[in-house]
Order: sequence, then C-alpha cells, then structure tokens
Amino acid sequence: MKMKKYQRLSNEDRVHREEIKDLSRRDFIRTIAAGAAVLTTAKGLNASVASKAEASQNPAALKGLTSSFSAVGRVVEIRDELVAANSYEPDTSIVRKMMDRGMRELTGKSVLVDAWRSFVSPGDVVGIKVNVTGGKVVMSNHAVLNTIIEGLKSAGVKENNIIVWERHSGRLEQVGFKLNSSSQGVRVYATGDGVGYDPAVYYDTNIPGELRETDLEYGKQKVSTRSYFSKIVTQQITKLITVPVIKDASQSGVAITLKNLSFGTVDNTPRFHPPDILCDPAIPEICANPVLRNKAVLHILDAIHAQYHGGPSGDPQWVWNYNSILFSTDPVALDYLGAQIIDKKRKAEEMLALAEVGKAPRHIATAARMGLGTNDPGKIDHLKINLTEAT
Amino acid sequence: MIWVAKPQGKLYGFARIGRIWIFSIILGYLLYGLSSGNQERAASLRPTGLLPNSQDLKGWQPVRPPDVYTGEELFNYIDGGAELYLEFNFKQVAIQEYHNNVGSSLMIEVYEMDSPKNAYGIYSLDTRGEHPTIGQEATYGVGLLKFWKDRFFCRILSLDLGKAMKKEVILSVGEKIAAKIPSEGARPQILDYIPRENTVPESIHYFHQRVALNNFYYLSNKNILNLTEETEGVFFEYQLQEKPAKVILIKYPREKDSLVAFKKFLNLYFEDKGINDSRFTEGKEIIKPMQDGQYAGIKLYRAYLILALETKDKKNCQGLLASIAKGLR
Repeated sequence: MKMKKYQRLSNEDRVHREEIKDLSRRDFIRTIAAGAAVLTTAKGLNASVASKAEASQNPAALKGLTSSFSAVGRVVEIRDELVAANSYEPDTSIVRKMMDRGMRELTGKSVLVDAWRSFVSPGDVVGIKVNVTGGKVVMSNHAVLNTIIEGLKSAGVKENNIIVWERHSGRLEQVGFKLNSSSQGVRVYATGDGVGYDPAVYYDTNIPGELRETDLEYGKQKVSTRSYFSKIVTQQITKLITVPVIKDASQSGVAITLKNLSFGTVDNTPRFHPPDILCDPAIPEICANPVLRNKAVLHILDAIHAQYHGGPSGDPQWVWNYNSILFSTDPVALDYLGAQIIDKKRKAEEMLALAEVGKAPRHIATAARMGLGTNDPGKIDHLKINLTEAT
Repeated sequence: MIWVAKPQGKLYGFARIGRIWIFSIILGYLLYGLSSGNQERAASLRPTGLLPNSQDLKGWQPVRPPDVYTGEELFNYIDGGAELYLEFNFKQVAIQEYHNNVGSSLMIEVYEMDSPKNAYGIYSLDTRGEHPTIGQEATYGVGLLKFWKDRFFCRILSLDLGKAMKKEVILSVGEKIAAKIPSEGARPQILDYIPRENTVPESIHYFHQRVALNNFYYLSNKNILNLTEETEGVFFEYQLQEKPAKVILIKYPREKDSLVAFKKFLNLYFEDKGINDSRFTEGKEIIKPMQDGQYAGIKLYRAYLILALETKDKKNCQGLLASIAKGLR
C-alpha cells in the first residue's frame, strides 16, 4: 500500500504525532458542483420518481442553494486516543483540535475559516442534523456540535440561522439540549413534535405503514405508503450538515450517515424495518431526493464512541471508544468505512460479521449504485491522522 | 389406638391434627391476603411510581421531570429499535436522569411489559456479566445494571464512563427500585424444558417473533419458522462439544401450526422441495449436513418444534433432538 504524507498544515500542527496510512486511492476528485453535490443516475432514481416529482413541484424547497466544496470518496479521519478517556463526554479542547484539523485537511484550506466558507455563505440557513437515539453513551457530542456552530459563525452565518435538529424533541432534551425556537440564539428543535412535515414533499413506495401520532397523515387514515419530509429541510434551511454516529442497527445493519440523513428526516419509517427489507432501498431513495441530496454539503461522523452490537439504542456493553471524527462530503464512503469499523470490532470481539447475522447494510451499495457516493475501496481516499500526544 | 390430650398440655391424635388444621387455614388466609394485597399493589404500579424519589436517593436530584412513552410512542424514544420491545408486548417506559453534587449522572429506565414472562424475555436478550441478587434476575456490566421483577424490566446506567462511580451505588439503586415491586412473576414455562446440564446459562433467550430471534441467532431474513405473537420460543447453547451447539425450541398455539412451520422450514432452510405430507408424523425429524460440515436437525413433537444447529455430527444432532423431546413428554 502506497504511503503519502500531507504537508499542507502549519508547523503548529506538527506538535502532534502524525500517523498517516491507509491511503487507498490517490485520485482525489474535487468538484465544485452547481446544485447537485453528486451526480445521480436516471436509472437509480426510477424507484423514487414520486418523491422527485413532488419535490420539483415545490421549488421553494430548493431555493437559495449555492455551490459548495465536494469531493467524492474523500474521507479524513482524525484520531486522538485521549479524547474521551474518562467520560462519555469528550474533552472539549481535544475535540476542537480534531475538528480544526479535520476541516482543514478535508478542504485543503490552511485557514480554518476558509474551510468553513467552503461549505456555507453568510446568507445560508444551516441545519445540523444530529443523532441522539443512542442516548448519552453514543450520540452526536455537544463538544463536536459546539465547534461546528463556532465554525459556521466564523464563516458569517448568523447564530439564529443555525438550526440543530432531530426527529423527536424528547430525545434532544434527554441528552441535554435546551429547545429553542425563538429568534435569539441557535435554534434547537425537532420535526415530529415541533415544526412538522411538508405535505408537498414526500417519498412514496409500495410498502404501506401503520401511521403513528407524529406522522403527518395520522388521524386522516390508518396506513400510508408515503413518508413526508421535514419542513426543516424543505422550507427552512439552505444547507445541511449531518453529525451521525457509528452504530450497529438491527433494522438496517448499520445506522451511520445515510440512515441519519434519510430516516431522521421523514415520517412513517418503521414500515421499512422488517428483516427482509432492512431499510433498502428506502434509505438511499430518500437520500436521493433533491432536498437532501443538494442541501447536505458536509458530513462529520462523530465516532468518538461507536457501537458494534445491540443498536440503535445505546448499550454501554457494546459501545467502545473509537476516538475518531471523520469528515467527508460523501455519505456513502463514510458509511462504507463505518461498516468496516463495526465489522473489525466485531471480529476482535469474536462475533460474526454483520453479513453473517443477516445485517449486511445493503443500502450502502444501493446508494453507491444510485450515484450518491462511492463504496469502492479503490476510489475511497481515506486519510488517517493521529493527534494523540505522547504522554 | 386411643387419641387423648395428655395433662402436660401436649396434644396428641385428632385434637392435635385439628389445631394444626385451624392454624394452617388461618395462616393460609393470612398469606393469601398478603399475597393478593401484594398482587393488587403490583397491578396498580406504573413505571413512574418505581422511579426513585429523594428519600430513596439521598444526594441525587432528578435533572428534569421523567419522560414517559406508552405503546408505539416508544418509536419516539428508540427510533429504529422499538420493534424489539413491542414484540414483548411493551406497555410503558419511564425514564429519568439523576445528578449528584460531585457531578455523577445516572440514567434510569423502568419498562412495564404486559406480563412477567415478557419482562423476563426482554431481560433475557443479554445476560452476560455479573449477576447480583436484585429483583428476580439481574445482570451488571460496564456501569449498566439490568434486572426484571414481575412485569417490570429496569436499566440503571452510570453515565460516568471511566470515572469512579462505585458499582455498589448502582446496585443499591437497583435494590431500592426492586423493593418497590411487591410481588414476583412466573418465568416462561417453556424454560422448564431446557436441559439442566450442559446448557450455557447466559445463552438462554426467550422470544416470540423473529426480530428478537434474529437479535441473538440469525436463521433467515424471512419468517421461515412462522413465528407470531402467539408463538413462544427459547434459544440456548448446549455445551456437548468444544463449540456449543445451538438449540431453538418453539411452542406453537396448535399442533397444526407446528406442522405448517415444520414444512416451511424444510422447504426454505433445508431446501427440501420433495416434501410428502404423509411422512410427517409426531416425532418426525430431519437431519442434514450443512455446508460448514456441521449438522442441523429439526424435530416435530406435538405443538413443538425443536431445532438443533451447529452440531458436530449427525449422532450428536440426533441425541440432542431426542433429549429435548424426551423432556417435552
């Protein structure tokens, strides 16, 4: 395997010991895409014609989009063994170092604010989709989130134009978020019991689901084949940053970037959970909708803690300190690597691989076929940097 | 023989037996009254009532009011994983986080299921760890205590990874919650058919449907055993060989249901397309070598199906099936 050292950063960064390895691909593709971050094949979108058509009937959902940095297959992984040595809550100062380095390596910008400006402009309304289903043992950490908010503000985004959101507000409060829908400060709220779903933008497929109280059509009918998109993505934001985590998930194999992006955004999803469906192709088809595909500009995978079994609810028995944060604009590459990380851990724990227990995350390959990113290890440019300071 | 009361006050014969009877009846009534009182109290208990109060947890304060999820609202709490609990007829959960003045945090979840056997079922999904005497059964590991008692399943989690929250603190919270549940409940009857010898204790899992079964043993992403909410099953590992064999025992509501499932399994798992219904009689068993060189077998016995998987040879498989079937008789 060919080794390569990156020399773009200042001397200040050299105080950290670096280990750069696993550079499996050298053809680093950098594109400035107008509108679409990745190309989507017509064939791949056949199954999601309904949602695509409905999205196009609501042009407001795509209004205000501007171009941003994109690099298919490019993943930067920053590790620090001490980031969460003593608590489920990581060390804020170490997280800041990891975030700064990751953002600059991903974009190739030596100045941090320029790295953030690669994705957002002062006029943007930026959504940050977190994942807190695992509770405090494996979640999008506050320290990571706060650094993202600082970065966005440094790039000129107004504080009140930043929306931290999840599907359900109860979960946000349980892990320490204070809900805020006022015109002051960073907004924090949820779709299911807050803003609601957009009747004009939906994903329709032939799998009916029994409706629940937080679903848009609940009370009007008992079952529906539609999943409606959150108004947060269709009406409120112009850019989306996701902060997923790495988790085993009984209903989809893994719950990483694509699942956080898709099922965290729409309603009526339990219909895709049966073991013979395994959320595929629903996850990639929902991600392919332009309101997500075009707005999701950056994915910051919070892998400080990760879970290799028993997910998606957090169980400390299966959670381990992976001590890394991964940065990419390619959700498929991130999920491919995330699934590898889970399987490597399962092997170390003498457990069967995901595929051997009926949890092969098929949606990752489907997403790649649909052009949402790459799962080809030969095309994934995985840069690993270890910042752990010698003690 | 003549039965008389002797002057010393000691009673003999009929008189003594009479008194014993009266005493037994009174004691029986008292115990029944106590027990039915306990049952009434237990029936009226709700998860929020089991969460520790300031008297139970001195020095700890709730961070915020408890969150309560009922029925399918559980999807709002375990987005993507509620099905597992719903398979065990989940009713309600109360969740509360507590802080103390040295910065430690505890998260307590009290789940109410429809019955003790389903509380046991959700508990049995993972019992690896230490087993303190709390509730009816308990497991502790990595700062997490889980126990079940009656129809309740509780999780008490220290959020202080790596810090010095003592195990004793967590166990003592568990004891206090368990003490608030006045009665115990029966474990699933199907557990009685697990062999006492050679069974790996922490491998025992009770289930109804395939989401739970797939959680600890994967057979197929299809419902090849026709599992429904009416079926009751138990999975366990049997240490007869170096690598334990896997056993699945399922009880169907009716004998015709087990027969249908038997045929479906042969068709889909063994890919035995030449099934002739007349071959299937009570006690019928099929054993086949698998691709990995091990043997898998299935035996039909009345309303039960017995599966022996990952056995090292045909003889072992046969013996295991026979031994479980013998217990069913």
